[in-house]
Amino acid sequence: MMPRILSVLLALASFPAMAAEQASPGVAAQVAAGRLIFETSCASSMCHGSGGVGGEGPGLLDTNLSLSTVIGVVQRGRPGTPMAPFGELLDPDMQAQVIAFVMSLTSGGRAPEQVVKLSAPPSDAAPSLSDLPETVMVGDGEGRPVRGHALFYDTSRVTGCRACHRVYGNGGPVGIDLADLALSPLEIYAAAAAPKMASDHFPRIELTTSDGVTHEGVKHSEDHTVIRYFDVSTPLPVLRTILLEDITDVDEAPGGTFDHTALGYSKQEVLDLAAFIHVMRRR
Amino acid sequence: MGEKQRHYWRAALAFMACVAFLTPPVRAEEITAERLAHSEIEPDNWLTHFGNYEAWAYSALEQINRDNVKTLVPAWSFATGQKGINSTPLVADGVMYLAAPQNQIFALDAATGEMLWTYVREIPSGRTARPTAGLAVGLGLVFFGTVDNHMVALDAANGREVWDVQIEDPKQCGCGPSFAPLLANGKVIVGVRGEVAHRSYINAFDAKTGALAWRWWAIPGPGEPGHETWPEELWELGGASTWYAGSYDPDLNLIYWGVGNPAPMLGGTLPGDKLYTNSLVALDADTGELKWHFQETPSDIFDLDSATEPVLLDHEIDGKMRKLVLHPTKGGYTYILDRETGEFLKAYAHSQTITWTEGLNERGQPINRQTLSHDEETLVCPSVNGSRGAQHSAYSPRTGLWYTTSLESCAMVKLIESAGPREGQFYNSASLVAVLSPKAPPHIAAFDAMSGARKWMFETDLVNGSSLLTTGGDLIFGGDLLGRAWALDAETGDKIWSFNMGSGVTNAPISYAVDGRQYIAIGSGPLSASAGLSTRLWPELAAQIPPTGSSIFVFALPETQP
Repeated sequence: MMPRILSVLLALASFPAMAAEQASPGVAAQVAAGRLIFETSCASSMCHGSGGVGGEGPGLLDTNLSLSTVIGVVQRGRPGTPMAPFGELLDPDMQAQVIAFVMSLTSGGRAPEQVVKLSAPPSDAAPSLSDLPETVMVGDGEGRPVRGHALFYDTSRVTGCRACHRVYGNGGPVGIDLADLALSPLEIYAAAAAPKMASDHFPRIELTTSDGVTHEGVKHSEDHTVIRYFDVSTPLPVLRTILLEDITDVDEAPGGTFDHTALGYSKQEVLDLAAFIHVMRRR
Repeated sequence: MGEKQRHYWRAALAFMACVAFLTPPVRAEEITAERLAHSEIEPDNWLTHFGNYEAWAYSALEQINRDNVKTLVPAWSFATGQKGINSTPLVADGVMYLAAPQNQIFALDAATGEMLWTYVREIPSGRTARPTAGLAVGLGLVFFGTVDNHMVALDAANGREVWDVQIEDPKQCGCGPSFAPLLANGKVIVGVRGEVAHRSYINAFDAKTGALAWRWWAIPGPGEPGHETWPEELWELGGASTWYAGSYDPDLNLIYWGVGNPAPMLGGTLPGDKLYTNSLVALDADTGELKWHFQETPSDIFDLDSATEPVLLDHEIDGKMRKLVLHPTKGGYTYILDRETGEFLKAYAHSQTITWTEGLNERGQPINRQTLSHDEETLVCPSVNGSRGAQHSAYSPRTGLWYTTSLESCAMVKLIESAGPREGQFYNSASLVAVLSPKAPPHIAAFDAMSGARKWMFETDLVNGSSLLTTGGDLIFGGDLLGRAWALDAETGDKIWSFNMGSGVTNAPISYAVDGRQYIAIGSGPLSASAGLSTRLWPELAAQIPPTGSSIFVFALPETQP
């Protein structure tokens, strides 16, 4: 026989779904679809827990959140928390479904009165991979942006483009966001293919400290007490903070800091990377 | 110079240092690799996450004992102002280092709570990782993993940043640094935390420079041994998070680390053992080379991580002293292996409610495991919460007992359709509803570490989210989600002291001493999945669970005995 507490909990668990059945068929279908997405995307015990009971993240039951709040948090995430911007991760139909389900959780199991409809995403969003052109001319060569994206963010390598560089905020911490580089595909190709190309966006600095050690890298910042620079000679760039009082010499003559050819990409791979970076530029 | 002499010499030096610098910054004697390896000779300090490299969570201090613990009083308290105290503080030479959950570190005078310095790190926009849960100190530096998935080293004397490395972009990998870094032989070693589709690893950074020294992939790549145990479509997204914290044997120069489950969290259907998920691994501390591995649960579909602490013990077996590792897992079993070779010696159940397997065979492998269905719910115990999770155990060399939490967690689980894995995203193929165990209440139990004989059981209110501390005074310290810190008699499990701290406990109590006075530090402010689980299973107690605080309380005996 099922223990009493168990049957109570099972009844509780099915409550939102039951309530949704009394709603209009469109709403009920949206809530039911949203429940599956929620259980597979949001229900980790590290996040909202199964059925939204809460885990390390907040519980959602009976929280009476407004529709606009739920839409905002689901689409844009909660910066500074593990809550991801699902506007970038789920297609709009799926977003609407999960929002409908969350609305049923926050309001004691009552399904939303109407089918949730979402307005168009903000225009500053990064271009989606499916919208990228298949090929881009890079000088005489041809690059494939989608292939370049995969190379840029290749998680099977310890180091690689993403260790230092970012595009639309995604990736590494060194220098300018590559989406803000207003360069032609060929110029990008040249920078990525050349050993130690100098660039104002990745300013070289060389410091000598009182212990006789020289530090070379990409300058990050300076204030009245310290200079900070990225040491890019290691597999992951190290941001070092050096006290001005320890510095005996500073050399900021223009120059390159990192030999991209050391990464061992083929010519075609560099073409693909240049094509990707070019098509991702902010307009 | 013998170890004892060295100890006295160090104590004298520390005393002189205190006299010389009555005001901050306190520049104590450097914490060397040597000191970390022999923390047993300086019980006044709590230098590593688990108190020693062996992960005992044991303090030899005995001033506070079973007879006088009732007279404990708060000596000081400190509030970080950030919700939740999840991190284990460290204490070195009279200074406490404490992490607030969101990128803030404090150095406090360990005797008074006076703030010596603080480090605040801006939290970038976008998705971040889990709260900081642990620190390492040594070589003049304090090391911690940030919520934006960087490893950072601070000058221990003043909190100034020395180096900072982004491990991966947390917006993309959905991951963060493991609970606590391990400083071993000049390297800061840190795993990956996150129940996401991702290829996890363990990283070692040169402690002085921050340069990545080695990376050990928890999922072998093409051409590496073990890669053949993965379906081609899954290995790059296979999970295997190394989310907790490791232990270290300086003589063997091996680190021991537990590895989590394969993705999806629940209900995977793809074949293969999926190495090194649900395994205990031994890695060379200098190179990251895999010395041995033991996979406790091949091809896990129940989220029964093997990520929790490897406890290092030396014990006689058949007349011969052996170097052993005792390894509890979320699946409810505790495994004992030879830590030089990885040879499986025995296993025993520390949880009373285990349904996912009928038992373990003579090689320590599960027998006749449960399966899941799309059509009906299956009662699975332990659930995704595990027989226990991040709430670590304690071992006392005085009692020979090993103390651990058992949540006795269960869930009704049913397969559901899910989208495939996407890099950095939670990936799950089953729904679950947490239920009470039909067999036993949640509790803390004491086991004869080697035989697994259960000596006593202490039933907890709700589930226990706190890690355990045991001391030379034969006490166990912990706390509950109702806001009470407590002490148990380590021999009997009787509760003999408690104090209402106003907010629940999910961190690890520690003990240390300054100028001959022993202190017990316990955080108040829960940050764990236990709270959500508890309100679900004990709705009648939900109203009694206080809001999340941000304070650490430090207790001691009254300065003049009453």
